[in-house]
Formats: sequence, structure tokens, C-alpha cells
Amino acid sequence: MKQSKIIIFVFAAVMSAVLFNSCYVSKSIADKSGAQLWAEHCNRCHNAPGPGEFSNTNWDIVAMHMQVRANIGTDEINKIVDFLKAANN
Amino acid sequence: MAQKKAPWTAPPDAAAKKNPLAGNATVMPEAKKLYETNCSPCHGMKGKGDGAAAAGLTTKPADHSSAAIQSQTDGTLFWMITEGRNPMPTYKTVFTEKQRWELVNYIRTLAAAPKTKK
Amino acid sequence: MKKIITLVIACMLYSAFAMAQTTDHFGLNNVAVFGDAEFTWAHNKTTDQFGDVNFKPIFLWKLSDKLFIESEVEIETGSGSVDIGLEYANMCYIVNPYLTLHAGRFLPKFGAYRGRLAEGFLNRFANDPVGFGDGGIGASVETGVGAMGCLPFGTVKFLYDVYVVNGPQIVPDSANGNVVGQFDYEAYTANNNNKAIGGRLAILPFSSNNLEIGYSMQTKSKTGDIGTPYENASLLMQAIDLNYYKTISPLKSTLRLTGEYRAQKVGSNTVYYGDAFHSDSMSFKFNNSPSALYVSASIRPTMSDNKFLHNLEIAYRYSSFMQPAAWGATSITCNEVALDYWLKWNCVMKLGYQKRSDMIQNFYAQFVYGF
Repeated sequence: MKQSKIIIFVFAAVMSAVLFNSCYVSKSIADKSGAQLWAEHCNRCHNAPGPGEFSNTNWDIVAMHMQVRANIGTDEINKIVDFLKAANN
Repeated sequence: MAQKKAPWTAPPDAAAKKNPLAGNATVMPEAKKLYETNCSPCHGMKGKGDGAAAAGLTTKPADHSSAAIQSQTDGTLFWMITEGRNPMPTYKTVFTEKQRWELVNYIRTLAAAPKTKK
Repeated sequence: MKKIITLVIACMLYSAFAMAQTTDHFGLNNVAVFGDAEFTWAHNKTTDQFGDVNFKPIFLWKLSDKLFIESEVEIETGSGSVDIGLEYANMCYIVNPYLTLHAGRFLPKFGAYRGRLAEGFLNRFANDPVGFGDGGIGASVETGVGAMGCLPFGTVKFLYDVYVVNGPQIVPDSANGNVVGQFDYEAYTANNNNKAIGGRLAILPFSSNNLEIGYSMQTKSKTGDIGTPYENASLLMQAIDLNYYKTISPLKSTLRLTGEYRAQKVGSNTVYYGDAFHSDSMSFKFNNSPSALYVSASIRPTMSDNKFLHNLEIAYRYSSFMQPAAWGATSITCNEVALDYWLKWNCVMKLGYQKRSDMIQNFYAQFVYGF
């Protein structure tokens, strides 16, 4: 039962962090391009699929799937998707 | 297995477009940053088409140091960056015109030295 | 019954494909089908077989910018007949950039191998490390609710997952060839009034996002069937995982390192009073503290100009599964090498050689086509 208390505490801590919105990113991270984030995040687990691999609609769907599977932040996944869609012109 | 694509040729008027920043070296620091942020994931830091993320692409990214690219006009390079061709994204809206010309200037600095260096 | 299920799945597949093919339509509710197909050839001194033909479609629905459903149906043939399973059906609600809530049957973040790196086109080998597959430690899927997200701080990111699930259920007897003291991790329904709580906290310490280190734990205070003497058998599972990749310019290659250690422990409160299975003892303790470890390294000349070399990858993996003596099984170690050829970012041909301490040596080949 001690463990569950620890987990509840960690959860509460995380939640309060979220509530107080204390998350921030340094400028070098915020300045990253979609191309960089695509290369870094996708390649961490698998070969990064090329821009143009999927339709724009499918990229939106894949993005949500990967956001959940790999805990990718919304800001970064949006940049990645914009980059990937830019080849479907 | 990448199948052979049709050659990528700019329309004559685009190819003939004058580079307003021709010979302007002052833009180089910004151009370098733009290139490393947006182009190098696929084209590599030295433009050799060997970027880290290129492994999964069906089309090999262009080697910017090669004669094939360096022999193109500034206008053609500008047009290619602007329009893109799958899987190369379009940068019409992402970059301003000035930024795209800066990138053309930067690509010129990546030309392979005539001999020695590989 | 099976025919009906097959028919229903066929209809689902058809409608999903039909919808997925109408790309770039307008509207909020968008569906797509991805997944993979697998086929394996295995050869050793005594057998030679084509088998393990699997088809695993993943259905993804984006209902709005905040609502999302993902579901995987697994059609597998490894057991000698067609097994159809609901791998997951997970409903997600993206609350804000830092928090996503989800409910259903989902891939829990317990370690990084199962549910993530085990995927056919991520795994460089045709099988799982010992102790990390079915019969090993921990669940691949869980039924319950959870919260997850990414919290950036400066150049560092923290990834968190917490969940409440039905959790593991202790196997008290050796009926059906079960191992006494092992757990059934993936039950669809609960066996008592207790829940398992678990989570994973991972850090991406480098701004280049190429290293992820995670710590996971899951605990349940009662794992036995309600009203039985072993109801109060508690369980604690922990895991540490690592995932790193780096492009090495002088070698014109990308190096990948992954590894994970997981261990489980049954609480010392697990006194069991003898029955038909343990007639010799009035007080019996589940002795169930196995651990498993794997480390894997692979290298691929991703920067090579040679098309053939560029698509080639060499991988090595060591794994070990320390099993309790009470299980009547010895500990297993396994060394594997694989030569992989990438046809596409998610399509791969694997050729492997495996030397396991409890088996004769095996050769295998596997095709995985992701789509």
C-alpha cells in the first residue's frame, strides 16, 4: 500500500505542475523546426517516415496515435505534422 | 527501391530569375542557421544528402555539394526550395523570399572542392 | 462463433479501408488503418517450418482535435490455429498540451519493450528477448484508465504515465500446465475488488531527444481470486529502460542501443494453506521473484552512398530470464544476431541466428511489412 501512496503523490505532483502551467521550454528548443523534431522524435524508436508518405488527413491521425504512444507534446507534434504535410503540395 | 523520377526542371522564367542577394556574404550567419535547422535533417550538415533522418526516405535527398546541383542557376535552386517535390516539402509559406535566396547563397558555399576532399 | 467474428472483422476492415481510401476529405471524424503483416521461417535440427503468419490491423479514429480512438485487432497463427484477439481499444481525450486521459484496453507504459519497441518493424529480431514475451514478466495490454503526457522543463523533457487497471492475477495451481505463482497479466475482467496502480516516468535528458531513460512500477495489493486463501498475495513489478541512438559520421552509420531490466516480487504476506495441489504443506509461500534483462545494439550505414549497404542493418541482442526455482524451470540466457534488410521505412526482412541456453540453435527469417 505504501507504493500506491507514492504513486498517488507523484501523480498529484505532476497534476499540480500541469495546473500551475509551470512548464517552459528554453529558446533553443522552442526554435526547433518541424524537420528537426521529425528527425529526432520519430527516429528515436523507428525509421522516420518521409514527408509525402501519407495524405494530410492521415498525417493528422497518425500524429494523434504517436502523441499517445510516445508521449510527444502537442506543440512539437503540430510542428512535425506541418513539416510532413508541406511535401503534399 | 526508389524508382527513377522524371527530371526536376524549373520553368525558364523561374530559372532565369535574378538573385537579389547575389554575392551578399552578410546574410551567411542567418542562412547557415536556417540551413542547419531546416535542411540538414535530410540533406546533412555539409549538404551531402546524408542527413540522419534520410534513412527512411524512398528518394535520396539531393547532394548539394555535387556538380548536378551546383550547375543549376540560382533561380532554379530558389524555385526548387519554393515549390518542393514530394518528399521535398514546399517552403513557399514557411520561409520569406529573402530567406529562400539566403539559402541559395548558402548552398553555393557547400560546393565540393575541385579535388582532394571527398 | 469464430466464423461470425471473422465476418465482423472482415466487414470492419472493408469499411475502414473504404473510408481510409477517401483521403483528404473534409469533416472532423477521420479514420485510417495502419498495422503490419508478419511471416516467419524457422529452422533447426529437428524442424523446418513456415509459420507465425500474423496480420495486425490498427484502426485509428480522430473524432476531433481532442478525441481519439485507437484499436488493434491481432490475427495470429503461431499456436497452430487462427487466434483473433482484441489487442487494444483505447479512447483518449487530449485535455491540454501536457495531459491526455484515456480509458479502455491499452498498451501500458511498463518498460519500453512491450507495447513499443516489440513492434514488428521496430524489433530487429524475429522474436522477443527471453522473459519479455508472453510467459515473461508484465503485461503487454491492460484494461483500465490512465493519464499521460509530456512536461518540458528547459532543454529536458519528462514523460509521464499513470494508470489504474485490473492488473495481474496470481495463478495458484498447476492446472492447464500453468506455473504456480506466475501471473495472468492480461485478464479482460477483474478477479477481486482490488486494482493495480502503475506508471512510468521517463526523461529525455538531451535537447537532441535521442536518449530516453524510463523507470516503471506497478503494484497491486491483492492479486488472488476473491475469497480464496491467496487473495492477499501482493505484487510489485519494476522496470528500467533505456533507448539511445546516434549518427556516427566517421562510420557513416546510425547506432542504436536499447535495453531493459524488469523484476517482479510477490509480497511476503502470501501465505497459502494447502489443498489438493499442496497437500504436503499447511503454509505455502509463493516464491515468485523472476527478473529479466535484455540489451541490444544495432548499426546501419545510413549515410552510405551504396544503396545496398544503406539499407542493411546488423544487430546483436543478449537477454536473460532468471526464473524462481519453485517454477521448476531453470534460468535462460539467449544470444542472437540478426542481419536486416530494409525495403522501406517500415518494411524489413530479417535473417537471424539464435543460441538459447534451453534450446538447440535456431535460424530464422522474418518478413514484416508495415502499412
